[in-house]
Amino acid sequence: VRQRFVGASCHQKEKGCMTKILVIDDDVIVRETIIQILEDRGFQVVSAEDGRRGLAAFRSEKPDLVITDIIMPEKEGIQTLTEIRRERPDAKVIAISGGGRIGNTDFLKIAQKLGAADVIAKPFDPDDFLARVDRCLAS
Amino acid sequence: MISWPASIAASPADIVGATADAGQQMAKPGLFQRIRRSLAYIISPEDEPEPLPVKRRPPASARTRAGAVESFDEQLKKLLSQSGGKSLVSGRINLIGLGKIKQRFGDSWPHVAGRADRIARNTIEHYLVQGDIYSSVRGGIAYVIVFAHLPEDQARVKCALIGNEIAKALLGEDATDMLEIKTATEQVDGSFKLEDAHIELDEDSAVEPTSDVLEFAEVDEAAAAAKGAPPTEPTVRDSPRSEPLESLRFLYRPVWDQTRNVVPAYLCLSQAPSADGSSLWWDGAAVTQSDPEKRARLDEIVLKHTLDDLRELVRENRTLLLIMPLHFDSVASAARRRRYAQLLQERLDDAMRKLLLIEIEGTPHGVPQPRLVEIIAPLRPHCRNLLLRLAPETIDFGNIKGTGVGGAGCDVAYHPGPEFLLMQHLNRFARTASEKATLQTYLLGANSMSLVAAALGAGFQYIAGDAIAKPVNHPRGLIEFSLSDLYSRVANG
Repeated sequence: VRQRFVGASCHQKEKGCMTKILVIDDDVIVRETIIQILEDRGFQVVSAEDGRRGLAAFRSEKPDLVITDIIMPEKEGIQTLTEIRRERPDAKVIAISGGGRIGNTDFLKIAQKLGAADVIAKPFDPDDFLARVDRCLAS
Repeated sequence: MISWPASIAASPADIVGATADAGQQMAKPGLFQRIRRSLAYIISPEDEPEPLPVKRRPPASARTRAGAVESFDEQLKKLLSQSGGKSLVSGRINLIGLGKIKQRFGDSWPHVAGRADRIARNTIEHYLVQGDIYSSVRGGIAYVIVFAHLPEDQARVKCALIGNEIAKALLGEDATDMLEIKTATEQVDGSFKLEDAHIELDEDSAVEPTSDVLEFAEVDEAAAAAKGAPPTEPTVRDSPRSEPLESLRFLYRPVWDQTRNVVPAYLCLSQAPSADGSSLWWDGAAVTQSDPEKRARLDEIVLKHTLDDLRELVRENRTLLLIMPLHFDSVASAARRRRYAQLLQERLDDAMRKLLLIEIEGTPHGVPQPRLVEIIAPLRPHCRNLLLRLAPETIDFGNIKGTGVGGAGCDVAYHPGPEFLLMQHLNRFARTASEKATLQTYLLGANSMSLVAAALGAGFQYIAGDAIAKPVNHPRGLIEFSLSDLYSRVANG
């Protein structure tokens, strides 16, 4: 689990407290890209490379939002989402999926059914992605 | 500055003969000294080993398939002593270098170096068998691999396979030319020279199904077990029971067709009780060490049982498919093949034939197409379709095309190594098999949801494993089953 902090333009949910987002994705390029987008926006980002580590990070870091991929080793995204929601029913989770050879919609529909606040198909537009993140955090 | 691996840097005496002992050995250098000296020069010509620091660094661990931690030098010495003082067979010492890949990544190399090292190590470890050793050199951008037993041609194929996987994992493309692949060959003067060992991985270079190949498969499994890979289902190796075939029990594994949201097929599994009363699966992987005649007898028992059940299903007008496993070795000899085909002919009618799939397990990697045709041709008329169970690492299906085989699959229940690497294999397997060889694909041993998701993402059409459904006593008939059903179980804990 890696943790990054961005100082200057931080998102504040309360005074002096940065909004923390946990990014779970096994694809290093996608993970780094998402981290970059979120950090540029001033979020504090914690990341993990699979669902098992992601769950551990969720417990220890108590993030405000979780962004998880679906197809991952050790523990895939929907199972991760389900366990997160079981532990904290109000947890906000965005599921992302893509790259697979079956329709993303199948996985994403199920993720939404099981409590994902939003679902995003890869590849995604950074502005749209950030808008959805903001919407989730505001809800 | 390229840094020397601790295991090499910590032993300059072995290389330059700094001590009296070593000096004597230099006068009449032993095999170990010659190899180390040659490697020291060739591995990193511009980077002479530095003098020993006052405080020696701990030697870097060389890894063995069994996971023992020992210095590379110690293991190399041990390997050489095992060869009885004879010269190393050419091809046993190999080098795989990532220098060009590092150049290609340029400034971003530091960001990917860790991942590259992890991928390289995982890939190498996956291919090593007990006794093989490797060590990272040149500051982690090259790896020296020493095969304990492999003949030169097979060592080259193995290195090519390793290189191919590393290149694909790092660059996402077939780019073995981006890798340095070299093998140490002994020169007239007794020194060793690293020569280019690139080969094209095509049908011509495929490893013939020799006894060596089978031996490696056996060691591989033993090593995986020693490594502590927890099999989800126990396996029978050489059962202590004198005749376990008499007390076999049969179960059926439901196979999910994810494209049609239905369970249309059941795979016949045979199970033998062990001496301690627990049940042991008697499957393809498990009987690798048994003799072909024993395997053939097992397959004939499975045939009789499966066809009896199939006859019953037809009588009840239930239209579902039964998959009958058959070991490659059981039909490798002409006599056994005839015997098996004869049994099929005697016991099958047209209605049954339409519902029978034969799955051949244990097909050696790269078996030439004519040999496959020879084996498959007598069986093909007796079934609806013929499937080949292959290793998940299979990347070339060219030899299967045009043989009459309709599907290719793999069993990952006992697969050693990290899941992320396995998932890369599965992606390649499904894509290559379906796109390049127009084969249907199936995955067995999907015992976790992450593997099911990976199989779906990779595009496997048929998926089976505990995460889908546990084996049942009797095939139940066509069952509707969708992704939603699967995840509703997850949601319900």
